[in-house]
Amino acid sequence: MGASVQLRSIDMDLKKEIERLSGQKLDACYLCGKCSAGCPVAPYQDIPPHVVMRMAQWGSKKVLGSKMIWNCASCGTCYTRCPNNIDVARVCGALSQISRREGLVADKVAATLREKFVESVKNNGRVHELSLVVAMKMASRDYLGDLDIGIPMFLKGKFPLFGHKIKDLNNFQKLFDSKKKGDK
Amino acid sequence: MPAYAYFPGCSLEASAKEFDTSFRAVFDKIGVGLKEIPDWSCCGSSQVHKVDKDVATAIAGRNLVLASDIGDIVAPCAFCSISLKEAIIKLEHEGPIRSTLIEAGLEYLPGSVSVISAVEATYRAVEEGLIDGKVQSPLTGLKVAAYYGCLLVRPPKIAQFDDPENPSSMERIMVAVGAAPVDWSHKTECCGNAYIFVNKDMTLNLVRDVLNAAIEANADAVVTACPLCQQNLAMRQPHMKQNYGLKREIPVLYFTQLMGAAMNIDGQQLGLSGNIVRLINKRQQEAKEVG
Repeated sequence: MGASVQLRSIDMDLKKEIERLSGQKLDACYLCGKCSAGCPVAPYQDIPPHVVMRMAQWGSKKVLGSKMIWNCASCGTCYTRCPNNIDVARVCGALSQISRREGLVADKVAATLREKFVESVKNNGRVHELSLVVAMKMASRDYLGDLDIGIPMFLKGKFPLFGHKIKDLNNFQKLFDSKKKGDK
Repeated sequence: MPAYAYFPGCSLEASAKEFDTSFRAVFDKIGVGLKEIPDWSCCGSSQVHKVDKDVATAIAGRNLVLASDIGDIVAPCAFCSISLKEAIIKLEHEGPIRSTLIEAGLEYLPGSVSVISAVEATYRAVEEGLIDGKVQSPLTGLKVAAYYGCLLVRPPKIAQFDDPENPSSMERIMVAVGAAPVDWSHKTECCGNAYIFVNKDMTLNLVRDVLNAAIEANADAVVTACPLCQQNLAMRQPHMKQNYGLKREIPVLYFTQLMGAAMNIDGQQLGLSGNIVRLINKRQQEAKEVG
């Protein structure tokens, strides 16, 4: 995916959806590039964050197929330095949600991490790290990688076989049906 | 005795349990109570945020409500502290999420609780003189690189602690236990987060840069205050030395482990390896000889 975007018109529906899910004002971005200059993961991605912002401003569907939106590490460097107070990680988060819904996920392993993490939280109230690690090893097909680390950790009791389930799981799970602004 | 509502977080129950045990041991020694929040749940984390930010705020909010009877929250993990801090800011204005909480039997009252990280709590204790007289075995001669990573001090509007680009609170803590912090470049660079499971090559490149910067600054050890930072930095060093140009292996510890060593807390309780204890003793011995 190149850095230049050619579009005839702005897809306002997509743009509004990104703004709603991210809580960020996309037009506040004037493309100074500070986010990309400081982004630790940008050198390893297809497009840098300020290009994500530009494509989001245009409501370009192409951005939904980018790897960058899945690999944002939420480090907060861009948000810290943005002269216009935009949390770019939230924009990447919103885009990844839409990309999943539309079946345009460019990094399936990153999507699995998110899915398994949230599943573990929802089912137990807390994350069970061992289940998550095993799921990630399966997803990335790195079955034997890091066994030299994992086995000693297991032996030190750092990977308990069973996770802790919270007591009030029933009420906790109600929180996943969170009300939105405008809901009745 | 002053007391905090303690939010350990999921990692401190498992992969980062030495952060939990060392933090509890140090705070016990300095006489600050930690009362674990009953039936606490996930903080919301960055992963839940990316699936639904309102759900993340709601589940963080549950912990705020549960803590409000105890007192202000201390959450050692950087992800936990930032998620809980952000929820406090969000819940001020998000009536609908507060309604969701009420439906789950949890009433959140804005202003009822505040959140700080373990570094902030320790920094306060140092400033208040609570560790005076507790440092029986100062870590003289031990050069440490204080590594903050991302979320302890960022984003500043949420973290509301220290300087987001060049923080110094952990250095202040290390000086208080007799160690010598080094001046270095990568204090707040990202360790790659959980992307070690997604894009290993990218993460190892990021980690290598952080560790090499600490090594170039001549540090004996790196101290951290986040489970993911500690594990990413510590775990694959032989592999990185062979394949990623890591200059040498370097110990990576939680800052509370080193504090505990300076307070003569049992090494096993702190999760300190024999190698680290020997390194500390060696530096103390050298410092004595120099006089």
